Amino acid sequence: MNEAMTAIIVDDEALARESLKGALESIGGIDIIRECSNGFEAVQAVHELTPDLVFLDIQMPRLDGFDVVELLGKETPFIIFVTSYDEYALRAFEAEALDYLLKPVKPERLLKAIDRVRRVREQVQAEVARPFETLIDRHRDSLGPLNRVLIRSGTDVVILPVGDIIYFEAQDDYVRIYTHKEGKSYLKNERMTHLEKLLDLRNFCRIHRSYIINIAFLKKIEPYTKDSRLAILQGGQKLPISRSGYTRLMELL
Amino acid sequence: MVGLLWSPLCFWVIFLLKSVVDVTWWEATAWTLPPMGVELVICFSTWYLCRMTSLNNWYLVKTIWTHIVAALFLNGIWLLLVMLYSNALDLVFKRETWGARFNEAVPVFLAVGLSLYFIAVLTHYLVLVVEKHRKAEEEVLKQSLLTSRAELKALKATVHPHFLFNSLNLLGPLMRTSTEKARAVVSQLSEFLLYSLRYGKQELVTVRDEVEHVENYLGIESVRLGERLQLRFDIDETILDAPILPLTLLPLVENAIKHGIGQCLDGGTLSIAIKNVPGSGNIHITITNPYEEPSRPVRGEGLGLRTLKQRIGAYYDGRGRLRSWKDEQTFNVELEFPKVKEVKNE
Repeated sequence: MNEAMTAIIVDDEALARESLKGALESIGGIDIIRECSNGFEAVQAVHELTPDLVFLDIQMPRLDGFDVVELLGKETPFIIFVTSYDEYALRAFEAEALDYLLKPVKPERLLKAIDRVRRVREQVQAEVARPFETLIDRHRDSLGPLNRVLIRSGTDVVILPVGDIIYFEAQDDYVRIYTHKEGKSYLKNERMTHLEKLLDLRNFCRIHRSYIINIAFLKKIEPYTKDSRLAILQGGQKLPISRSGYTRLMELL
Repeated sequence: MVGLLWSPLCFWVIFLLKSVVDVTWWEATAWTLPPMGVELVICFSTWYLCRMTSLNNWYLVKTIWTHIVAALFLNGIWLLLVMLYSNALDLVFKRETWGARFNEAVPVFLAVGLSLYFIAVLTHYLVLVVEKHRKAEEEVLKQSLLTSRAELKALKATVHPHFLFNSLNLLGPLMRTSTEKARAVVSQLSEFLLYSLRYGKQELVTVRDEVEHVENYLGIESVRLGERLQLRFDIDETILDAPILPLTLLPLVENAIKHGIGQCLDGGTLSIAIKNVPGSGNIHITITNPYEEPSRPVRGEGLGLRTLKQRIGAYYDGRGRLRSWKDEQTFNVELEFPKVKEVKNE
């Protein structure tokens, strides 16, 4: 009944991958289909190969383990986080009561973690991967406001510094992000209210249910009807300002 | 306080005037008090002159001349004012007491003005000297405190639990894949720790010691980082025996790995150059590494650099300097300090 699970190992250190691979081979029942040395490769591999399980290192350059999970969103398979000693990451895991492996990985702990994944898989075949949003948020809280936004389309990953963003527009479950670089815009699976919580509210303001603007790009405010106004942005865009949005904006300015 | 000193002085001047010029007590008093008020201002204003001039031997003659000229000039003006005041008194009281007899009182006023001027100057210099002394003492105390704090931090840094932990974790997988490499890591690690143990007893070490120490460190880190870490050393062989503060290079190199190459997706080259500065006898160290703006704030950044800066500042007494800056894609540290003493190796 224990058919082999497919797995991907993600770690920027070759020796750490080697070590985990060795341990997994001795346990058996896990088929390692790809090894990735950074977050970009990981996003791509998961998208292409849809493994059952990912062993994901937290501390990696440019895209860390939390970023990878955020980018994968609904495509996130079962994840076993593997982390070096890092008090902030550990605090986030512990607060969420999430399982993780601490390096150096002990074989007994590894076996336990894999068993747990097997059990959950058998119980509810269709259960989606655990939502990691709160975990990621908790980790971010300790790091201060967002300074970049990660976007993925298929296997492509875009890292957008928040300074390049002119405004966000709500589109159902998505947010469209308008940048000033060549007038490009991107779509991200994200909710407006959640996004508002992450952004630095000294630079961004939710002027309307559907719009968050970057204050740096606000040119002027024009009256529109009796009690509504328009925000004119530097690129010439005109966005409506709601009454509560106007109060927020005035407090900020 | 000033009033306490000034009122007997005033009384004394009144007494002098009364005995030299034939005036009544109240006439002498009226004559004395307002000019003495002006004199007080003059005496206080010499404070700035004293602060600007120096008591240093080289400038002593110049300083004395300055004060003589200033004394004559200020007291001249003062006398003029006193004369005008005396005439005014005559006019107001319709008598011929003060203005008419001003000539007789000139020696008294001149003597009082000049002597007060010089007493004030001497007092000010006394205060300045005491102040300077106290400041110097404070500075020495501050420096020694700073030094010991920096030393303590450096000492703490030598314990390196994090690095030790990571290195030991390397050994597990290495022993399976390559015992040869594992053996090398063990020996580098032991050398590294030995240095940490021994350095604490020495005030200065040689450049060679320091270079070997970071080589051990980098040897271990390059096993961990693999291809991502490339090294380039450019060291002037003639300064290998020159003296250097222990643990100068390690914090710089550690920073370069931790915040630099370790955070770069494809790694990069860490360059270390140690050179003589022609003519000055200084040692010049440059360390550069690729740098990627971190996606989120990295903790602990700059602590190592700050501590090192303090140590160098304190030890070389301002003749050593450390500066660091970020270019587009590189992080640079530049360090220059004089060669002092020879290293006594135990």
